[in-house]
Amino acid sequence: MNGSRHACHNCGRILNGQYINTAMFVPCPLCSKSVMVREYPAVERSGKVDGARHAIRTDEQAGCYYHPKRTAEEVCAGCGRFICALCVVELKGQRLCPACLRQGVEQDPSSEIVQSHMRYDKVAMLLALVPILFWPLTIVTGPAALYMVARHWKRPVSLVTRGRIRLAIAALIGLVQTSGWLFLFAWLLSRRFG
Amino acid sequence: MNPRPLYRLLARSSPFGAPSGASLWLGDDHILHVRHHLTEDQYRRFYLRDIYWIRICQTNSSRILAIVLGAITALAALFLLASGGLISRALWGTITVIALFYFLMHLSAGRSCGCWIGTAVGEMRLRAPSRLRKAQRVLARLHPLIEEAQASLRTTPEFEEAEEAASAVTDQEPYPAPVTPALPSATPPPLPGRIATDERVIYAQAALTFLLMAFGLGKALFMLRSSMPLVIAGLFLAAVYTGGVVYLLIRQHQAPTGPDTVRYNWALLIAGFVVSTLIGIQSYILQFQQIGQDTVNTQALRLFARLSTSDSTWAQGLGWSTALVCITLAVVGLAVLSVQRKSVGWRT
Repeated sequence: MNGSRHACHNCGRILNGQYINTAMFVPCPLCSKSVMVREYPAVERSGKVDGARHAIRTDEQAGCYYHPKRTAEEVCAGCGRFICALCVVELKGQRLCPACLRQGVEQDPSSEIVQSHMRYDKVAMLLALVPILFWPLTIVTGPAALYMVARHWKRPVSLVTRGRIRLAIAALIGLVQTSGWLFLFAWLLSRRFG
Repeated sequence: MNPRPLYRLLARSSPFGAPSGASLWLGDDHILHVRHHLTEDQYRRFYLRDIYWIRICQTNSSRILAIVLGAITALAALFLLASGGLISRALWGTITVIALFYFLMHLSAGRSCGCWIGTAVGEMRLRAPSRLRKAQRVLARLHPLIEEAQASLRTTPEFEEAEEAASAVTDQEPYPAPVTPALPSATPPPLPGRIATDERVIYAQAALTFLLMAFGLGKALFMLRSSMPLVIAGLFLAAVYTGGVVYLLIRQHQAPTGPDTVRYNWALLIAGFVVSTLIGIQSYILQFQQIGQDTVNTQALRLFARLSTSDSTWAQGLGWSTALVCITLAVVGLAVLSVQRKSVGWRT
């Protein structure tokens, strides 16, 4: 195993041999900070090329749609195009081309390959809580928080967060703020015209 | 809509109540690294079959944070002992208890560490777990799963012979340049090394640091307003740092675009708004002090006027603590910048 890819983060000392695949933390030989490195079988396969899968197309063979000079290895399950081994992406048992993969992400934001989520529950909480420090702003941010909650209540919060507690709290605070302003306006109007 | 996969929490890095941080989750065949920003979660998946190595190294950040938290706790305790009156004691008592809570939580968490994971496309630092004990437990849990997922990848003599025979085919003709189709935009892998950021972020951080220093110095010298030369010196330094903020923002505008620029600029704008508002409130209170309390006709403004009197321990403690906290944060920011600027070759 090549240990030259590992170095101590603190002193930069190269870690190899006896410092790789230890069951416990070992002290760095230079700075004595605890380090642990675990390598796995996949690293033994790194850099090796599967020549059969990257074969150059001959005249009798079908070519990849995106790489015309390469042999087509698969048929895209989405669009039916012939694609080579470089292009194929396996997802949920289906082998897709990059275009179908991208289209699938756009159509289904909750798919497994989504890369980010806007946290509207945190935005609603910020709208509800932060302006309390500058309470005149709550005349705008209170209703804004309520709108944010109503607009995004059914949207998935996050891949890993299922609860909507933040949205509920933001809605409650926004409701209190909005009700307070409405009560204030009603009281002022009653004093003015009453 | 597809059912979302179930994830099991492995580690979380953000301390209690923090709005941002990172977490690590275990899925069926992959681990999910989540960066929690203020309004967005960013995901990065590492399939167990693709992991080359995992490296954990102890870091010094826990020691630095222990010093900072200890200093804040001690400072708050000093103000608690020096304060008189029920309200100021209640305030400083609350701050001391909160600071002590975070300090003890930090000490109990143990030594800090950094985790790096290596795959075919390079290495990436995992922001969670961030403590040595937790990282060891996480690795102990992941290790058998990764070994099981990669059991079929172990090199055998038959595999080596097949690889040599297959590679002979590719030696006949060089690979043509592939025409890469446009893929969904992905966050580019971070730069190798300790710091992974872009130049615009550094400018935004520097501007925020200078803003804190300007406000801290201005506030500290304002508290000494009986000494005119010190006030003038403080205003001069505050003006220098404010000019630095403007200069850094101009340099940032000229720098290449980065993925985190918008996020940090929002933080800078919000910080600038908060600082400006606090300065405005301080000036407003001072104006009330000069006009006198006779013109005040609401309960809230009477409270502000009472708090702004120079003999009030509350006002003194609040003013000094604000100045010291801002200066401390600015000094820490300058220390961080001195390391970060090297990663992008930024010359001061």
